[in-house]
Amino acid sequence: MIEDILKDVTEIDAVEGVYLASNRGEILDARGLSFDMDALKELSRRLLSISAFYATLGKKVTELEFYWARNFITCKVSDHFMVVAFSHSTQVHSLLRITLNVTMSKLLENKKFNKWVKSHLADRTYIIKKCEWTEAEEKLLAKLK
Amino acid sequence: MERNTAKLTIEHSGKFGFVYFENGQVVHAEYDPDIGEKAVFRLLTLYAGKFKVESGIRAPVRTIHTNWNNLLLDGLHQLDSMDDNPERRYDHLFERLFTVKGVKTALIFDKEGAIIANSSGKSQSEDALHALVLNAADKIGMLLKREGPDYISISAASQKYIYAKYNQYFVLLEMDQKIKLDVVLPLIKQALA
Repeated sequence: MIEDILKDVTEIDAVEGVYLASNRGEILDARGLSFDMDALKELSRRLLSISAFYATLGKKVTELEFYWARNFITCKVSDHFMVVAFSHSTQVHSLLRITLNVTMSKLLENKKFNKWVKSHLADRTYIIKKCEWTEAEEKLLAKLK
Repeated sequence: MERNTAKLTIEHSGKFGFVYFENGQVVHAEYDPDIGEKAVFRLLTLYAGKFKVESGIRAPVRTIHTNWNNLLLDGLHQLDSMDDNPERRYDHLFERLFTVKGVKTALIFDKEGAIIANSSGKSQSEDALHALVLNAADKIGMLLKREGPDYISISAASQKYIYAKYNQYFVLLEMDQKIKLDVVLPLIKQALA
């Protein structure tokens, strides 16, 4: 079950929550997070947009991490989905990365998950069309292409 | 210095420079697009690189007639005056960053992605990418009711790209993908302080 797969991540001390999203920005499952669905979708779009920017230049992103003083976000990105974990301690970072790698492998072996992914296929740059951009960002996107 | 005849090869960020010695004196140097004394002065400005010495190799041509001691003194004098050059302002920062294991190149840019300084000297065409990444990171921070992150790490195309705040600018480090972020981040923070 997908829920059990994500449970491994939330059982790590100092991990606040985790969620799973497709490359279209659709949320499949979320655990331990206080965001509403709209906020989570917008967060996914912004995370995926970074992967999309790099993909435009022919570079495939596999991992994204964001660090603040007491918080960090770790994302594992594949061709069709991503897993995002939130934590408030860098001491669990190594364990979290390993667990996320295992989570990604388990998801890829899960039939129910693969069926869901197939209905959400999109190339890595798809999300650029889904985000709202300022005028300045539109100009930067034009330069990127 | 020991009256040797040799060729010294210096490699920095994929670019090669050559210094030829005959009987202990520098007789020729090349560092594209310069040759002769100008090439020597430019090679003296490098703060990181790999070296190889090959004994017995003669210069293809003699372009330097100045005594090595005088050449070195001239070069060091030029280095000192370069510290006032705005283009060299960040050399010391780059020097510190390159002491962190795994750092391959370093770039300083502003919020709009415009390059302020570049350790490799190569022209950069990815300024739009960096500005877009920072904008996206700021929006992620806003969604989480925080400022933009202090550090961003992106693994892509067998490299690791670390974005860090540096005063009113940002630093981008291209690093070996295998580096352990938990180990290098404190070192990067120290180098940027």
